[in-house]
Amino acid sequence: MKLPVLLRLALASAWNRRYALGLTLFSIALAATLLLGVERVRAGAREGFSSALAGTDLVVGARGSSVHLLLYSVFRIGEPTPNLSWAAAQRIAAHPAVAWTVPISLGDAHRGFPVVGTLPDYFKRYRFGDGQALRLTQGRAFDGLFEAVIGAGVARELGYALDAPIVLAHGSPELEGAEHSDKPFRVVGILAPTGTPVDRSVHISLASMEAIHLDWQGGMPLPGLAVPPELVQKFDLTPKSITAQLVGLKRRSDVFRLQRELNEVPGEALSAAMPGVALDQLWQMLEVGERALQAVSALVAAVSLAGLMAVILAGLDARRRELAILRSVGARPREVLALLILEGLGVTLAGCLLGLTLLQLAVWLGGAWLQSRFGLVLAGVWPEQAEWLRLGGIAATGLLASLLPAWRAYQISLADGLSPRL
Amino acid sequence: MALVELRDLRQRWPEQSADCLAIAHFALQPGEHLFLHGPSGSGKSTLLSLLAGVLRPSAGEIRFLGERVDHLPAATRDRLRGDHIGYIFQQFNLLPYLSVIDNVLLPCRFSKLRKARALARGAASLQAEAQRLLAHLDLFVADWQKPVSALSVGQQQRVAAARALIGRPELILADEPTSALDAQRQQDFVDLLLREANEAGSSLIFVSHDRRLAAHFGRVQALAEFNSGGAA
Repeated sequence: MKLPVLLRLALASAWNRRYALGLTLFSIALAATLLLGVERVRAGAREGFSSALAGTDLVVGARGSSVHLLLYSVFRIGEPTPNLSWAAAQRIAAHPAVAWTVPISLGDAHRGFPVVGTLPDYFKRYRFGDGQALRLTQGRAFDGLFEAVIGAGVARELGYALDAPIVLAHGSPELEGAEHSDKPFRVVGILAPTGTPVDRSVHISLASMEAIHLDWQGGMPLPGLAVPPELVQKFDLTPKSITAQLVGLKRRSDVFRLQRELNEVPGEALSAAMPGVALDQLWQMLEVGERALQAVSALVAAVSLAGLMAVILAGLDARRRELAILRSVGARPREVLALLILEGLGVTLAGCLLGLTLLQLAVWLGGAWLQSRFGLVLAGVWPEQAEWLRLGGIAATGLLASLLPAWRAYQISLADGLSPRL
Repeated sequence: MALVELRDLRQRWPEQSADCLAIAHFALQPGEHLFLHGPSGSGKSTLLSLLAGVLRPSAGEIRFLGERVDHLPAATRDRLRGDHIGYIFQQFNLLPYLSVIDNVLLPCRFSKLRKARALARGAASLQAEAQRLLAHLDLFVADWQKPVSALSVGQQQRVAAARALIGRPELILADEPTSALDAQRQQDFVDLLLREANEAGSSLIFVSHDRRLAAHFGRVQALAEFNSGGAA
């Protein structure tokens, strides 16, 4: 029956010291936001990566690291990987265990967005998230030369509509070289947003890719040789090589067998990467960094709670009078103890709650932007179990941090009794 | 039966060679008003802490309404204090974060008995009873609504008196409650306190070193008269 009384007293007393406690509360809130935010961004990054490619059993490229291959060919991050020959790609496509293949040819860019040379099958086969297919919001897939299908992000950021003329440039998005200005493209389709690297890609056919490089060699236009767009049809537009090939199997259980077979195929050295396994390798590489981030945010939380302890402790001597008055009207030392614990716990809980609110607000305001800009999926507006555990951890530490001042107040009220020593 | 009775009481602080209090016998009757004087450091505050049950004596008996209380567990003594004793400090009696009324009602929050008694004599509510007491102590509506820090020292001491009186405790202990007041107000405060203690039927032990204030008390004693301890 005393608890409501103590609660009211604790509230009134805390309100009386609201500025110092408010600052502490705010720093706990920021610590909670940071601790949860780091976790959410981490989970979001993983989610974003894992959901970028679904339904593809193997990614095949020239011999090299599978993480490197996956990052470059699917996420368009990092240095280019060596190409694999078209003949090898054809042999894989003809393998009895293989259901479908989609070639990917990279190397050009358009105003900072990577250009993907592929086949129309790409729009049918490429899956993301939990198996969703790509969807066109406007127009159609390319089928002729010099036609481009752009991702939602490209369309939004560059303000492109259907039929917009675009000129591709040679080189990666970071390092664009000479432009293929003699062979402009036309936007024929715009894809729906996916939150994957597809949003930031310009898709053209392999033949178009080949056509714009007819009069090029070694990354430079051949001097004295210019093939006008009208004449490219007269050339053989079959590619010599591609960057990578996405492979879907008839039976998923064949994946290990085929992977081994491709890795050991005589002649051209190939690498076949399982996307999930390659991503796991990537997480392992990033784990140290993630741990460091978590450690830093845990440290911030610890500092905030130490601040709470310091604020309450520092205020105690000034509150000896208050404790003596409470004792004089019949409060027991353990009620004084409870008062101080309530205060510490209250500030911590309020801090956690505010932190959670700040985080939700940030997700709500910035979630869409993060997803389109960085492919970070900050899903789950309501905190999940792991986050509750973290919040609980902060609250429990806050309780611990308030025990010391509370114990000190208990001793003060026992020693002082009704004559506070000031 | 005496309200409070001390027998063969001795109190010695740790690391001290002599008792600061050694009282063979002391008794206070119900309704009695004692003016207790003595120099600073003579053990007056220690005696009050013993009577309030905050301290436990080194030896001897404390009886409250005939019952021995000195050996009771601390929690029980805390409850007895809340139920039966009103306490007025020298100064800074009020919690700055509570309103005047809530300061007065503080004992009723901790003691069911005080709450029940505050409501017993036809008071419409606890608030009404607090307001009645405040009005008797010359504090009026305009004063109740101020934050306690805006009250003068004299007003604060009168609010403290109202807090000590609410729920008509058997005993009021006042530890130099007038020392922070100017001379003119001191006598006024003593008279108000005596009048209200009478009306509440409470005994009063009023500790002061200023004997000029003793005029209206039924009993006036120096601590040294019944305390043989204390070197000072």
